[in-house]
Amino acid sequence: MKQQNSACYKLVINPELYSLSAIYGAAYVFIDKVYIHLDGDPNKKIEIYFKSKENLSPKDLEVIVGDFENELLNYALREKIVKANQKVREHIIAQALLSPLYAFSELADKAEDQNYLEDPLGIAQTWEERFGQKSKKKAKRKK
Amino acid sequence: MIEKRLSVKFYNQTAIEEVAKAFRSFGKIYFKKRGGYFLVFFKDVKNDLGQKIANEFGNYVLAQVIKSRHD
Repeated sequence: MKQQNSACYKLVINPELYSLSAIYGAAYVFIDKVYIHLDGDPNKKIEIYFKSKENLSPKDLEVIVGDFENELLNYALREKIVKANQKVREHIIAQALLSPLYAFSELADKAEDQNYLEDPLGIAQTWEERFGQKSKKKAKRKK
Repeated sequence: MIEKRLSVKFYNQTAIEEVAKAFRSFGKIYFKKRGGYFLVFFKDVKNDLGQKIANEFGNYVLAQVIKSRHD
């Protein structure tokens, strides 16, 4: 419901349709363009007063109030989507936070299974043990 | 002296106190709670900008209330 009085506009909102947080969110968007004043009862009817700042014609104010209503609808929809997707988001975040822990525990398990005394790649051998004889052969060939 | 009424159902005292501090340089600002409203009084406001300052004060308080809800 809208009521206009020169450079002031009154918008009455049914809180069953739009939550108070949606109203706050939409109000924050327009706070730099118009003076916004809230009154009434958050459980029964919320009154929003728009007062024009300097250099705003009544028509401009009407346009801003229309934009405010659109923004209100936008916020109400966002709230619905947030509520609908809450469990999915929580699941995704939990998975994202816990998956590195699982990966780390798997690596730790593998590391525990392996014996450090076994040396399948032969990296514990010294250079002489591994290449010492070849170098002697090469030395002989050179002679 | 200019008076501004802010409903306790939409505005809170902390926000009003913070904004009153920020607006100290514009004049004397004090408030009291009565009948479900914060009555904010603006006294000795400079340059006859009382109404404008009162309106800006209201917007600033609203912004603080919204910000505090997200913190």
